[in-house]
Amino acid sequence: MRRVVDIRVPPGCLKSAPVREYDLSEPVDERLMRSLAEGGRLQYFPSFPRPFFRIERPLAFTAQGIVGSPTLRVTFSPSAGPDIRETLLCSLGGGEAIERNERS
Amino acid sequence: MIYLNNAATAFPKPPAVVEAVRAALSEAPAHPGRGGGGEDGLLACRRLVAELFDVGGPERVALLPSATHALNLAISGLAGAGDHVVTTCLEHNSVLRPLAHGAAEGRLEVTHVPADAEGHVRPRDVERAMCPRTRLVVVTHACNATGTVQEVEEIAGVAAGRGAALLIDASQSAGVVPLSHRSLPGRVFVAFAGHKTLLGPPGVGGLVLADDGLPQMIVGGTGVRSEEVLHPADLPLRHEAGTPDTPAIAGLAAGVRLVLERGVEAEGARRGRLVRRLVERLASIPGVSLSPVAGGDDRVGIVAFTLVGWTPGDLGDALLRSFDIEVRTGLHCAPLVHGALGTAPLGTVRASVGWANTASDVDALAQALSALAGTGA
Repeated sequence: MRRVVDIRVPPGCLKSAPVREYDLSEPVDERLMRSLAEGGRLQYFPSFPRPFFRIERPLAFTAQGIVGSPTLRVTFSPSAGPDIRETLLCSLGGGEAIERNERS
Repeated sequence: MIYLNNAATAFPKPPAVVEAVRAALSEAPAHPGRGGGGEDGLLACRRLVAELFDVGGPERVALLPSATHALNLAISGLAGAGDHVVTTCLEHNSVLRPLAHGAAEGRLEVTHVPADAEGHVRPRDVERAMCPRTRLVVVTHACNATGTVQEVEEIAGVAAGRGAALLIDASQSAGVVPLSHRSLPGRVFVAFAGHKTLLGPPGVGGLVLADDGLPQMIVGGTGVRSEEVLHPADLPLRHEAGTPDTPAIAGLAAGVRLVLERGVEAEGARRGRLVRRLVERLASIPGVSLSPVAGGDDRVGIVAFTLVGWTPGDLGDALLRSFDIEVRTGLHCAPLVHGALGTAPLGTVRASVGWANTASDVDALAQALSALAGTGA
């Protein structure tokens, strides 16, 4: 059963950017990728050196990652509220991960 | 991996640098004044740096933990209470923040000279920003966010003409843009980083000193003249306290030796060719905007850009995850330049070539961006 094991603010010099990295207990597969994209726009490039995907959910978030990798990068829309984050967490299998800040 | 983040730190380190650090750690230490024999590695390093910057003598080279340390030392010593300082919007936070702290504490008044659309600060604008209370001008030799090279020789003349000291931040230019300290007019200090264009390890940088008038910031053990109550006042010991990072200094010496062997102008020209090649390829990719838009011949191996439909952070992440290409994204610790160039608040993607990069590396980046450009709009 997939779940979120960690939520991190990626290292960088923009502390205020609404970006989070979700570490999952299992790699992202095509099924999860397509389910996250429901109601949004999926771009999938299996021919890239590593199979890259990008999901745009208007007014909610942009998520991107590699099929086969357990890490998902999510950039939330400025208008996205806590409900969006909660829904995303559920879509990823839930979990009790506590968001933590990396040193920037 | 294709590493195009050399403006952050040079990678890979040349084998000679790695070997010098290894030898310094594995052989009996030779600390001047602290026991041990052998060659004085600190003096050897000072001589090489003095040759690089055409400095009057090796004693004018203070070896410090970083360029940030050197800049703090110079700024705190050259600008006192009630003084006015002129700097530019192209500076790194290692300049902006020490000045901002001085301003916030009510000690300094600071003026930031804007850059033009090509990422250059005009010397006449520096002169206009000066006033009778201006004691210090601080300017980057090459902006770390754009790579654009500033006319420090002319700015030195401006500062000297108004009786102000000049502090040059050469963190991105040392070893790729010639600079003759001896030929600059006036009272000029030059801060440099050891681990970027000089190819050394982290943990060492330094300050080229105009004279012995800079107040001491850190005092303590020197390994010599222990009977004296006060820290020695002569150069370069005046600014060096505590046990030196001899492995890092050995690595820096090896790096500078390589830089001198390769030739500063030759390496600058080689990086310039890679930059022009990348700029030409990026220009053909729909949605890519260079920052600054124009120019390109003086970017010290740095090319900054954005791509429509992508935040710089997402684009850098995609390059790394899918194509194994490392760049840097965001403001690059130089927040003011992005306001000037229209790339605030998210910044840019910055690709920066180093000593080991080749044309195939920049071609690979351009190909990856071409592929991603079809995905992001």
